[in-house]
Amino acid sequence: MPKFQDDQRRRQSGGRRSQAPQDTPLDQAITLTLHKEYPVTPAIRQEIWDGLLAKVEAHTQRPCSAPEPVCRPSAPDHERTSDDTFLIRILRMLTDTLENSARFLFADEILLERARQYPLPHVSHLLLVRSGFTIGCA
Amino acid sequence: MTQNLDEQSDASYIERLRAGDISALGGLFDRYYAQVFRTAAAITRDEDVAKDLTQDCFLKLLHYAPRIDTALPLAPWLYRVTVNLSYTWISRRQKRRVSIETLVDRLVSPAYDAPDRVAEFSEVQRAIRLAISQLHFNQRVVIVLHYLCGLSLEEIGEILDCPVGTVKSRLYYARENLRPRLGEVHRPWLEGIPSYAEVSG
Repeated sequence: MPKFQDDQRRRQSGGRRSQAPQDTPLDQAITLTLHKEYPVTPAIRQEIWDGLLAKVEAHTQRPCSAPEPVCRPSAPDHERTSDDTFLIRILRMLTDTLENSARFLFADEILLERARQYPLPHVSHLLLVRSGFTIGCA
Repeated sequence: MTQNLDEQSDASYIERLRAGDISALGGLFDRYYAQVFRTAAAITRDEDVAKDLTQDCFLKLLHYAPRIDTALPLAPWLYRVTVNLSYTWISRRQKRRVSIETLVDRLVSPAYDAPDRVAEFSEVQRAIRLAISQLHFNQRVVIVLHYLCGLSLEEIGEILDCPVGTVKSRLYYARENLRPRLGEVHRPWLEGIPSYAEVSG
């Protein structure tokens, strides 16, 4: 450990790079106490290592094959127009969120009625969001 | 030169981790676990928690190996993670605390005042340990990083991501808080303790 070895050398030489205020009795008492308080034994090392291996094993055995969820950034401000209505923004949010799991068709009331009468094989759900707009989930 | 070789070794270990060679974690573990454990123990005052945090620290090293800048020394990164993990643990514990927080503190820190441990420490050292444990988190961290890890104010500032002046201020007030708690009764002992070189040697 480069820095630590350097620090050890610094300590052994009785100095350090910092410009901290030094009050030798107090500083030495603090140093001595902290260094003696938690001795590191081989048993402690083994216990930590065994626990680490168990955690690594648990960590690596998690299903890593699942693809990471793709978070699409929302449309930049310059792509948004002042004509965006509240409904359009909601629909954009819906499609941004669910685009990876389904495709959506947007239709008006006439297409909705036609879809009800002649359901298409690739359309599994029809959702009436608001009069004039429907969403078909393919 | 030795330092450069060591840094290269750290970089090669990290490269191996990036390549999926988990055995490289052992090399880094043997090099750094003692400092990480003692730092976590000194901040949390709980050996069992420190063991757990040490494991979590190296687990993060494994996880973030692809994003670690191998051109920089690894030790500050590990210290930063250790401090952050300790802070998270202390924050969660404080939320669980009830009015009898002293009792709870002892219950969650079984090794803190174990008889064998008490026997090892002199009265003055116990007073110092108690005084350090009662410091505010920010002051305690600076005390631990400075006196236990031997880091300079600049290095501590980099680890804590704060200006050197802030570190210096925290260290000053921490020492000012510790001084009166030790009391004049301990002055003769303080004057007779060994030097830095004797402690480290």
